[in-house]
Amino acid sequence: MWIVRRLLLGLGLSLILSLLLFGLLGAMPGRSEEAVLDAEDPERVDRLRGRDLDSWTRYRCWWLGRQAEGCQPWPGEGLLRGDLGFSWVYRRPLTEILPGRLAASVGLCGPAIAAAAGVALLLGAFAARTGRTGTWIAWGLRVGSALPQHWLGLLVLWLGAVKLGAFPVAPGPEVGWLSRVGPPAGVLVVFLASRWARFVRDEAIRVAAEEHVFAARARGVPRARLWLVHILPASAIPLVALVAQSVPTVFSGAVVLETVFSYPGMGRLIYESILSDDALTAVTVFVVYAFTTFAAGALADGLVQWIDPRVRWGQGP
Amino acid sequence: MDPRARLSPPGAEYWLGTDEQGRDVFGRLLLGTVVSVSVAAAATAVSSVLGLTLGLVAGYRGGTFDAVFGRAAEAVQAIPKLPLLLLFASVEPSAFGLSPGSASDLARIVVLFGLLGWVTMARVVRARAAQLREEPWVEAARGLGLSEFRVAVRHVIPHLGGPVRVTASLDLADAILLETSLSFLGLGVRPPMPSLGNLLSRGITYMTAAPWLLWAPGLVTVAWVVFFGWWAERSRSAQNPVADPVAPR
Repeated sequence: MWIVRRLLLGLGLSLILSLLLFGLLGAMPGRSEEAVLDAEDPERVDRLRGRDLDSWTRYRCWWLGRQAEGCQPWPGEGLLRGDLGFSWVYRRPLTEILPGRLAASVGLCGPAIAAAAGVALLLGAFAARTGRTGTWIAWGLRVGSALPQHWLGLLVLWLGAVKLGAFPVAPGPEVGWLSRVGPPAGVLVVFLASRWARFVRDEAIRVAAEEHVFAARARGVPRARLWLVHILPASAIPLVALVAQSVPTVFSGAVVLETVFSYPGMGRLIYESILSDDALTAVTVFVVYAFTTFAAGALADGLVQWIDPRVRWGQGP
Repeated sequence: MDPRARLSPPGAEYWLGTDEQGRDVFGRLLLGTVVSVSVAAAATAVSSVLGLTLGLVAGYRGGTFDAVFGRAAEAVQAIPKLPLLLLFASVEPSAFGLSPGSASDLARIVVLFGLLGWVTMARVVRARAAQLREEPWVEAARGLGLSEFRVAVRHVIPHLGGPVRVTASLDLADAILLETSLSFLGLGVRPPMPSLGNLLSRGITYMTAAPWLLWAPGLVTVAWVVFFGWWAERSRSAQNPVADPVAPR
């Protein structure tokens, strides 16, 4: 089963990444305001965060928890007992925070990917037209794919939240789904759709020159039907493969957008943990995030295979 | 620089206005552009050389190396880059005997972008090298008894130029975007050294009072990224005009 192989590969890669990052953990800053405030025993915080341990012991403790030898002040029961550790930013165990954060990140990226694919298909079809419309759209797509997501995010915030007051700058849980997810997802859609639409345009031009389209035109199929039935579905298949490949890029970009829009996802948790010198939490959350990305990528590839059985994972060029 | 003219709007004296410390935005922006573009160029150089070497060996030699290469490329591509770069950015250089400061910030970005960004280049080169391996002149060169290394360097690499140029300029555009995101989050190029990303993040604080601080660096970034993307498109259609046919109707 290829999907099991894929997930195993993802697990292996997460393991390698966790080893690498734990090796570097000692070089990441760990002291923060508590260490300064607790003047009587500044080492206490270090001990609590497991910072006085060497890299290897720390990695062992991360897996085995405070029951293991030499891990007594470790802030968790260990990964093997399903405990990921403790977030000093939120002062709660990570296992309580992570599921919600993960759902939030997926809830941002998933709809954005779906919407972007639809928009890309539509824009790509129009960009394939010759003449002025096509040229204008092509330039629009060039600019759209060059917009830094954080910048566009800020402009959206400035215009939508500050000038128009359409949604709050930092929405809380009481705000509706659309005002929370809409703005960051919109920016993600602009970025992804303009990249994908250029690909759809090239595909549509290629497909439009094929014989089945020629035959359909000869039969007198109207233009709208020609595009909707004969050209676009054929261009959509390679697009799905491209979308599957872009999953890590989407998750990567979400980190910036979650920060700009104060959206409570995984990316912002990593960022906040780094800023508050909680490197252990940052590494743990990253490993979970990386594995989620692999899993999402594997699922997307599975979808590609289901749509187009000619694609086989591991046997391609 | 004029501490009395803080946050003054664009005008004749300061073309793009001044920032919160009275520094000329236009000058900072020029310097920031140089920093951002050169960091991205250096990073692209590292990733291109790495990608070229790995792709060439994988495509030209094939076999076990190619199989390992395929898996490694897949793995590197599957990593969400930005959070990993954020984590690496928090590593203190002093732990490795390096002195902290702008120079080590820049070096870190170049090396990490290079190590994470070689996949596209390597894949492009691999595909092309695997085709070239079967060409008659490569076979002839091999038949003349040239070493594999010499064949690869003298008879395969010169034919890779086109796709490498296209991929490199696309990578350059992406590197500029990634650098601005990283510096925007405060973990890339750090002030006082300006970069397109960190200039932008300073702009947020004065978003309403001094919007030029937000507009100027963003527009410059977009202009550079569009330029490199357009350059890539142009060199691609110059190499292969047939690949870009005119759509019917």
